[in-house]
Amino acid sequence: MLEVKSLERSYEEVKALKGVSFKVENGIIFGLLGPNGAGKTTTFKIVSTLLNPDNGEVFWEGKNIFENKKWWKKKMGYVPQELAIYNELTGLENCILMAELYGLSGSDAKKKSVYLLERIGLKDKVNHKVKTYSGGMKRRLNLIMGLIHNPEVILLDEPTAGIDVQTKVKIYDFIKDLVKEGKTILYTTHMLKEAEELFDIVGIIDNGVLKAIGSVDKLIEEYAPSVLLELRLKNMEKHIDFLSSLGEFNGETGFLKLNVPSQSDIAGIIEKLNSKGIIIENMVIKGASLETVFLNLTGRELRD
Amino acid sequence: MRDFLRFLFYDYKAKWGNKSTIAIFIALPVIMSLLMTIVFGRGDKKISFQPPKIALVNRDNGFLSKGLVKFLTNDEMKKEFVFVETDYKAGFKGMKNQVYSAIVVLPENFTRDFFYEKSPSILLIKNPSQGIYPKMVETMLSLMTEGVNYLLTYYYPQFKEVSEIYRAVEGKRIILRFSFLNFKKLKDVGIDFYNKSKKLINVVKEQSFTVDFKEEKEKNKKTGFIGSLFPAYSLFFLLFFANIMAVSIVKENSESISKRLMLTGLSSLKYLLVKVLSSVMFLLTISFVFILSGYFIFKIKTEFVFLLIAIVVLSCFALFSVFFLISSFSKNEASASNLGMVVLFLMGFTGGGMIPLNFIPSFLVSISKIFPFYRLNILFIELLGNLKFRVDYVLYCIVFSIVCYALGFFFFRKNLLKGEV
Repeated sequence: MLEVKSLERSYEEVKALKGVSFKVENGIIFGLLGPNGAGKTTTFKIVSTLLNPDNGEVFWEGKNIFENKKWWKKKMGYVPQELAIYNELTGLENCILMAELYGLSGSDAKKKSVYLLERIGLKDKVNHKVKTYSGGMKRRLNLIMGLIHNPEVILLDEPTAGIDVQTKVKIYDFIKDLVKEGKTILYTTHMLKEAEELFDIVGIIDNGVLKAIGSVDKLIEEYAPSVLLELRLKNMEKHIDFLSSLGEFNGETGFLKLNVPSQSDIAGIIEKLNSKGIIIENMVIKGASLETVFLNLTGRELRD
Repeated sequence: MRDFLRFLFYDYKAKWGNKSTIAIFIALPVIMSLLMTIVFGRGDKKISFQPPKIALVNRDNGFLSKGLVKFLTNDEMKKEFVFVETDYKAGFKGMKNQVYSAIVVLPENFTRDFFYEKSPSILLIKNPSQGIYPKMVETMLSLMTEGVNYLLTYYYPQFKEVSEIYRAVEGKRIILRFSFLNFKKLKDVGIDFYNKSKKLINVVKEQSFTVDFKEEKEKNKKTGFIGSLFPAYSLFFLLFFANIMAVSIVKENSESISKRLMLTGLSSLKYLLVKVLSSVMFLLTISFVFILSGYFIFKIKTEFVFLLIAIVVLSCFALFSVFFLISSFSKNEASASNLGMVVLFLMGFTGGGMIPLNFIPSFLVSISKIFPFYRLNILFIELLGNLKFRVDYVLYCIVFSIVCYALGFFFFRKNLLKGEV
């Protein structure tokens, strides 16, 4: 089990992490979901030992990783958000370099590199220079370079940023296979769909604070049981106070956003509006989702 | 150790990615040298450049200085230097008005010193606004030596005659008749003069002055100007490579390559050491190509091959150290590159990497001496001209590099450990 305890970290005046704690069971995908600047990458950098925390501790199987950095580096694989690859070398050379730095012998390094390159779908590009790869190919190479030493815990920092859907699906399948093999995955993203599809446990992080943690279903049940209703209204000028009391109302655009406890309560709302002569121009009903959870927890949408 | 060497191998290999750009940069010193020769040599590769005007002040009345003035002011000499005989006051005024590049003063005792077997001393005053670089001074002095040798050969029969007269006088008792004179002193003077003349004759004989003046000049012309330009341009373009290499370290940090590599267990010290070694190795390879280009295209060569290699190694080591330090405290790739380019042009321009050193005012040269570029340029010019070897310049470059590397390692490690580069 990976245990993160009260991590704190500041960059000059800015407090990037304000006491982040969580636990990750072995063999699952744990995802940190949050907007840019929320503290996801800082958390990962600390867990990977690239950054020292101002306060807090991290344990893997009961051992403090900062006191056993060498041991931890062998157990952990880190895939950075940036494409940390030598563009002037071939895909195979990049992998072999990583493997040899991790202590694999020449032949083992090559075998392992070829195996992973084939598995991720880069068989035909093994001996091509990375600068000739597409963005998706580079992403895949970037991913397997962090796995070359067969780590138990894998940290994936937005591994699908800026790539096409097909490549994303390939990467998702690859990650799911890794979990089946017993690997523990820590994953960061700011994409809700990715979180919903992939994560076993989600941690919602914003402004350096872990707001909530749990499975997607559990988070929805706990933080977004209601339905989100979005309405565009007409003839509402006389009823601004009434509309504002219902939810988030914009008097200029006539846009009303409100949570209703369940679908069955929607009819009651429509009736109330009709009785006051307010015309509904457009209506969108949004079911409970991580987006609602995020909105309820942070007071803003994730894309903000 | 194995992982270190493997990393070094791959890092070095990765530097050769963009071969076309590298090829262009390698070709540029050749192109620049040829262009500058055309500009300063008026289209003729063999003619060096507009010969500088030198004021020649003769304060001696002896035959040797007069002959030397005649020798230096002949038409043949004007292709190399235009010596103008004048007095010191006019010479100094001319130098102030940028007419003369230097003043050469033949002192009062020029001929007399020669008779007393002392080296004739010459005073050279350089125009601070028209830097005369060592190769030119050396050429000037060698021409003067040639002139003196030429004169001695010319006057050889007269010397011989004088010495023979004194040999005849030496044994005669006739001197005794003039008892009112200090015969002993006169005799001593005579013997002394005789001995000196004899030695002089031997000196002249041993000189065996057989150099064909025209041939010697032809040889100088072939490699003189371009021989000093090409190494400077090569060094200048080496600066570009050094800057690119150093900036790439910052780039790798921003792309998280360094972080990823250090998570394998590689220490930041080892990582930086590989970066320095692979960059210096890359620069050495490029330098080797420059040496071959110089040898085959411009016939630039030296008898001191090992010394040349040593200076090339020193150049790569020292030039990279400057940019390594700059990159180490730069916040990002852009600032490292921009600051590097500023220092590159400052060093290159003032150190003779863009225009010949003799066109650079001395106050700029004195600024340039802070950086290793100027000193390395001088080391190359003097080595290729078979002139003296300046150990102090070598030591300065070594110390300078060590300081830069020490600071560079400190700042880089600080930034790498902070993870904020």
